[in-house]
Amino acid sequence: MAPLPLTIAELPFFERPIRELLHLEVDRDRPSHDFAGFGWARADAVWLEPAGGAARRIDDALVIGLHTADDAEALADDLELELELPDRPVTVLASAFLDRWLPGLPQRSAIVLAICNPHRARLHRPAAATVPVHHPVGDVASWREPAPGASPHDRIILTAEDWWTL
Amino acid sequence: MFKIKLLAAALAVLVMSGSVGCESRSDRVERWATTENTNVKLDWDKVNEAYKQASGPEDLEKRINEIYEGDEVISIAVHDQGDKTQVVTGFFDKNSSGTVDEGEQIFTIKREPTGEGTAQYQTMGYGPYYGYHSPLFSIASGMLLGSMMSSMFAPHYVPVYTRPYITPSMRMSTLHSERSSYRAANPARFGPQSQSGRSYGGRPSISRPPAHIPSGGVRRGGGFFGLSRAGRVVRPERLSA
Repeated sequence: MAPLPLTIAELPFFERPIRELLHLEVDRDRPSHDFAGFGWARADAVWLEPAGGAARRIDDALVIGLHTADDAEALADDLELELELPDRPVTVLASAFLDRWLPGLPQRSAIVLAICNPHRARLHRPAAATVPVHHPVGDVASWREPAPGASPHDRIILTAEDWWTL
Repeated sequence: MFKIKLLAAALAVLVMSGSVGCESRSDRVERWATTENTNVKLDWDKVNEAYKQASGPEDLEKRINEIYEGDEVISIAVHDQGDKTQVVTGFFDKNSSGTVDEGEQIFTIKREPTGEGTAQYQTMGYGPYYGYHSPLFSIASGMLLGSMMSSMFAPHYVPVYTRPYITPSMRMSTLHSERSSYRAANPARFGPQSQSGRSYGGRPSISRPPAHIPSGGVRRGGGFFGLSRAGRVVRPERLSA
């Protein structure tokens, strides 16, 4: 049976708990390369950590988790996203995806894109963005670690070669 | 769609046999209570291999429950669809309904023919294992396979589970006791420190060197936001609108 035609607006892009979105619900030593989940989440705080640099706390963030494949088209200012759907994978350019989805997502104090950027693309600021947009350079991985101090919650960390702000 | 078909088929089984449907509700919930533990690793390499080697659904559910290190018993549903496609669904039958209900599914394995004497299968995680997505595993006639998989290459293959096999609720206690015996026989892996909700080790899923992994022992890993797809022949469709 041929798969049904699909538009960007019809993609199953849903809100998820932040730990689920970032694949942090199961205990593991290292980030998994088998993870293909995607969606968006509200986070009270996430830490963006560049290689060799100090992590920067981003409060009240809208975190958008998506994937690029290692054979994705290399683009200077865009990313070819790949979404694993139940019946097949599809790709879509990040610019088109964000133009379609960002206006309908809740407003937060910052937007964090958790998307691997293997070709170091310098993204354009999405037209619908009204707050700082943080996007990675290089591969992105998610982590959690016990928070210092009295907080009972783990810190959620996103690592990359670098983080750029639009 | 699959779920609806599965449910309909399962209901048909219940109506036709009557045996499960006649059990009292209280009997069923006493058999095996799930703890809804969602923090237990599932070794996907072993799950994928179990499907490849299983002789049939009962053997597969036994193997999978030996792999799973939590307290719950994993039920399976095996559904043969047209053209030798088979879908195996793993689920926690929390309500002992004998069907795959909302929120119970934890994985699916889909096997599809790709040509004469060849096929592929792929595993996807759901619920607490949402996000796991195996590579496409190629199989072919002549490979060392269990009969559950190799039968599709038989000259006169007839799908057996067009009406799905679903782990009978009466088998849950058997699976549990078999698994207890298995764990007792493997103390190195299932020592007294093992309790539901903890990690039991297992191989980290690393298939390529990450760009930036910080040192430090207290951090726990999540996932990478990249997919390993290099070498594939067919690129996915790109959506433009």
